[in-house]
Amino acid sequence: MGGIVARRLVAFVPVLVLTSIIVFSLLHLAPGDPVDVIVGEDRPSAEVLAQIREDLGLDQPLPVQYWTWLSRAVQGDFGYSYRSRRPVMQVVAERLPLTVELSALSILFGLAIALPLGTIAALNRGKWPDAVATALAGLGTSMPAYWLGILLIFTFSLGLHLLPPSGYVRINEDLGQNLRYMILPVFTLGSAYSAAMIRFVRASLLEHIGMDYIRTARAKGLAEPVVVRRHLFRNALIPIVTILGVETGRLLGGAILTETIFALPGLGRLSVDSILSRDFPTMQAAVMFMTVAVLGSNLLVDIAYNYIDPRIRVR
Amino acid sequence: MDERRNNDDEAARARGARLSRRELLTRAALAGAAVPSLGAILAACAAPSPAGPAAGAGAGSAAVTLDPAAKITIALTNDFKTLDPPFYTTVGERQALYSIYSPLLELDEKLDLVPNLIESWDVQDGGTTIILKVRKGVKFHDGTDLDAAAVKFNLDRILDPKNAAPQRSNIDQVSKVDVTDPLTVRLTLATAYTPLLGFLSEGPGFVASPTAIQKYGKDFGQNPVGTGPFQLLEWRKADQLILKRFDGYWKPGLPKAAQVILKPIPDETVRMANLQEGTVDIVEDVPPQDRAKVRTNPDYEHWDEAGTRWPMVRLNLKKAPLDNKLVRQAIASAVNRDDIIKAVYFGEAVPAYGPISPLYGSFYDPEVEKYGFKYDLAAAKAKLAASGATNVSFQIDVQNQQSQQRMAEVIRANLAAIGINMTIQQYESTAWTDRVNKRAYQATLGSWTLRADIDGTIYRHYALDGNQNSMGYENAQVDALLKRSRTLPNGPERVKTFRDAQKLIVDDAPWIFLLFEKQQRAWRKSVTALPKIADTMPRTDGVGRKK
Repeated sequence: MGGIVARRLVAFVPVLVLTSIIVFSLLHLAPGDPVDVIVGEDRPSAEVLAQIREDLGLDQPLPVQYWTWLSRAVQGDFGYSYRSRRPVMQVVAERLPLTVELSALSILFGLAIALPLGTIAALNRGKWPDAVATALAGLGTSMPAYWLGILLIFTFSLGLHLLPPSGYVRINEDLGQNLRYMILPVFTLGSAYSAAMIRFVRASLLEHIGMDYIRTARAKGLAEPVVVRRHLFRNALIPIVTILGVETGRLLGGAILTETIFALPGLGRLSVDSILSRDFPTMQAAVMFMTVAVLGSNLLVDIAYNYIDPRIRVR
Repeated sequence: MDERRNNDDEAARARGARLSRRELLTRAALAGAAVPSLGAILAACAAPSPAGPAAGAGAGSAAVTLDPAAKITIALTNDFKTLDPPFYTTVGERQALYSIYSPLLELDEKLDLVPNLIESWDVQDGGTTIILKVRKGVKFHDGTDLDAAAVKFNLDRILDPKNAAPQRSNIDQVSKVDVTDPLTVRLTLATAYTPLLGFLSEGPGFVASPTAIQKYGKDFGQNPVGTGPFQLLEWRKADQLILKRFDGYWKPGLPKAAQVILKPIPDETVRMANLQEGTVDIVEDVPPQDRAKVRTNPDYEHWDEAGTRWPMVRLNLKKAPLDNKLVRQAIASAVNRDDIIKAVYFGEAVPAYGPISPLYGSFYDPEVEKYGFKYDLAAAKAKLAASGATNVSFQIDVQNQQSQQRMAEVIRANLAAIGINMTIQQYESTAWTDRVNKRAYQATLGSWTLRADIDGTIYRHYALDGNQNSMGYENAQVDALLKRSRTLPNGPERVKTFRDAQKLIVDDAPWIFLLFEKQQRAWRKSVTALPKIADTMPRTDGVGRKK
């Protein structure tokens, strides 16, 4: 097991390097100048502009700039934000608690809905529970996060006065309040997630329901819940876990729309803000984090395969 | 660069206008704006609110008891990245600065300059020397004293080219800063520069503790120390800035609140939802579509101001077909400003015919409403025919905001009526700025905001060496008038130079003037009003919650 993990971690490196090159190039080749954003509206003299460019290393050729960034990054130094002049690692790190919590709760919420609904749909294929579950899935996929979020605020906050409209309370300050503020954002983000998962769960279970071993299990006289739990689920789990890994990595990259609506200090907002203000060091670090998150969750999925299905030998 | 919703520059003060509040109200009323007096608001709000704290209908009386433990929350639109005064560039950052720092000079509700950290000032030697007397007994949050040396330290820091401070160009006429005694600063200017004192009431005027700057170095922007009513308690990035009362504040009896919390909430609908739910007490910029509701809602009080921000179409005079003056004038006559005000601003704006905002008091020339180009299709067609240009078509750059797209669409329809084909191209904000700086546009939809001195809204756009003159506008007469205006003290002569310049600018039409936006601040009735100074800046020293 250790060998597999180590090998996979080594395989991360070329992916990370390639991603960093692509992102770096795209950022620097896009129109728009970070120096414009730094100096604001009143452009100083040409000498001052040149000075700023030199201080930030922006006067160097691109490959040199990339190499400077890379050689520092491998030592853990991701540079300083152009706008706030703070170490980028700090800037990214302080967004993580919210992003991790929001992602984790959204996934749990999504699964809590998708697993039962998808199972019910699969077991009752063609009947009304299936239709309802499929319709809900369709609804969840087609409702844009922005629209759903505002709708939830209007209903549960302005309408029923049950929940606050936006904002964030840290976990270590007040767990109860933290969860209260998380309810609407989690619902918003988790709905889209669960909608996708319902269809996956359903499809994956359906594939196995018709198989011989299920018929055998039923013929043996096993109660239906036992059949579902012990046999059906474990076999159908592989595709579900796969998609779980992909979606988790995606969510950890930040949910920009949800974070904007609910004014949450997450990685999504940071990424967009730093792109719009051409804050290259911050943007680069945010993307690298997202890449690591995706690779990491895929690795966890692969490890999980070994436990779910011994027939799959991950090498 | 121009106003960008995500990266706006500061709105500053109408400077030097000897304009009484009554005049301002009259002018605003004539311009169609509604600026209700506090009395009228209170009368309208006399009905008790069904929920929430006891209505402050008696707030007109002086003896209102305020809760000393109050925490007041203010919703801002944009986040802030640094609280180091020379380096701020966005409206959000400047809005936060007023609670932490005091500027050297301040503005009153009539938009006149008044003493603040500077007790008195004296302009000598034809304007090339300014003596500033520093107030005695003011302390910074870290306990150190404010003195002339501290003021010099701050001004030098802005002026030092090595620091590349964005605020530098507002005061770069100052060639030397000297301390003549512990509480007196002498500024020496290369040439007389009337706008300078106005700038000392905003950006360049905020004074930070030299001790703290030296202590924190590059991190000072995250650990601000000033002389303001509140000091930093905790800054949760992208979430909220929590400030606590500074007990050593130099104004006696202030501040009233225990804490002020500044929250950037980007989405305007959610901002207003927070106000309704009471999780926010004050909203600085109510979206146009919500203003009518706020006006009639007894739970809130509000304040409307006209003329603080204005959009315009900039035309590139170096590129055909807009290098042709008659074509530009035709466009100016073809645009239906009322359509735009209705369609984009829900009526919350007044038409503009020239570059001077009505908030600049006596500088504003009511004659511009006569000689400026108004909506007149016949005149537009005639001008276009006289121009000799055929098949006129060009592209307008807009930023990716809905209001800008809508505005451009109205203009496109207006121009189509006289046979001009205008195409609209959206750009992301920084890319849009890039095109302006490179003068790559034919037409571009920009906007500008109020500055401390009227100079800040005119010179940099229309002077030959104006750093925002991306249009390539070259009128030697206008240039001479504007250069002269900088040396004249405020008074009828300075007013005349600006009015004369405006006539020429309007005729040349390097911009299509569209409208002056109205802005509205709304707050819950339980909270006292912030000073009604028309620059969208929240001054929190007196704010409190009624018991």
